[in-house]
Amino acid sequence: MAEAKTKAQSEADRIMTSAREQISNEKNAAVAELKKQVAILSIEIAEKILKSELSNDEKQKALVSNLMKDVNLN
Amino acid sequence: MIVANRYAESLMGLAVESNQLDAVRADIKTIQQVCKENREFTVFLNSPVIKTDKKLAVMSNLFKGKVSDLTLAFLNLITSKHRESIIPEIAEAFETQYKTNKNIFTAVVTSARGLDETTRQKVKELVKAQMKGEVELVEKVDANTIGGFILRVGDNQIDRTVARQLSNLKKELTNKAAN
Repeated sequence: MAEAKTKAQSEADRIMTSAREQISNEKNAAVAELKKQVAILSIEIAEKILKSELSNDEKQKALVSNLMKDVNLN
Repeated sequence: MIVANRYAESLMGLAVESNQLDAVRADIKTIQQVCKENREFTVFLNSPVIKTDKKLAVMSNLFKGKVSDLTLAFLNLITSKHRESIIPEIAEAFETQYKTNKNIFTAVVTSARGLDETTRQKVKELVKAQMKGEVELVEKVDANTIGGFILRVGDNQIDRTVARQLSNLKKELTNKAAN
């Protein structure tokens, strides 16, 4: 009787542990996916802002001449 | 193309020998222009049906007075050798050899909205100083770059566009998210 109880307990523990592991894995995957979505969204926002910032010729010019400064072709 | 290169080389040699290099280069540009603007002309050059003497006559009509005697003689020579179909390649090869000889570099600049005169001069000076040669600037416009520029000289390409920086950032951030 005692033996059956111990066996049942250890089986229950095993199931719990595996369930926890599974939950933790799924949680991690969800967090990673969420981070990725946030990253993509942020880039899209940044792109929109940059596009409207750079819709003016003066700013385009300033950016180009700024970026030109440390160009090395060799 | 090897054959085109050889013909271009001999034309170059003749031009240098007779001190007409710049004139011949201008002729080559004229020929390229004609080929580019007139598809019928390239079809005509490629046609195996049209006889050589007919081709020679058309060539004379078309280019006499417009190109130097040397270039015209050269065109006639190529045609009588039945090589007229590679005239565009020869012209191209000549252009490349001319630029190499004169140490001229072609710099292609792609930007979102084109360049203004100041920036144009800056690019030219930059390439001139770094490549130690003359520069021919080719400008391209591509709104997808968002801002900044792509500068290509020979095999060397420098991408300083906003689009590139955004795409790098996106890669970095999504990689981070995966870890």
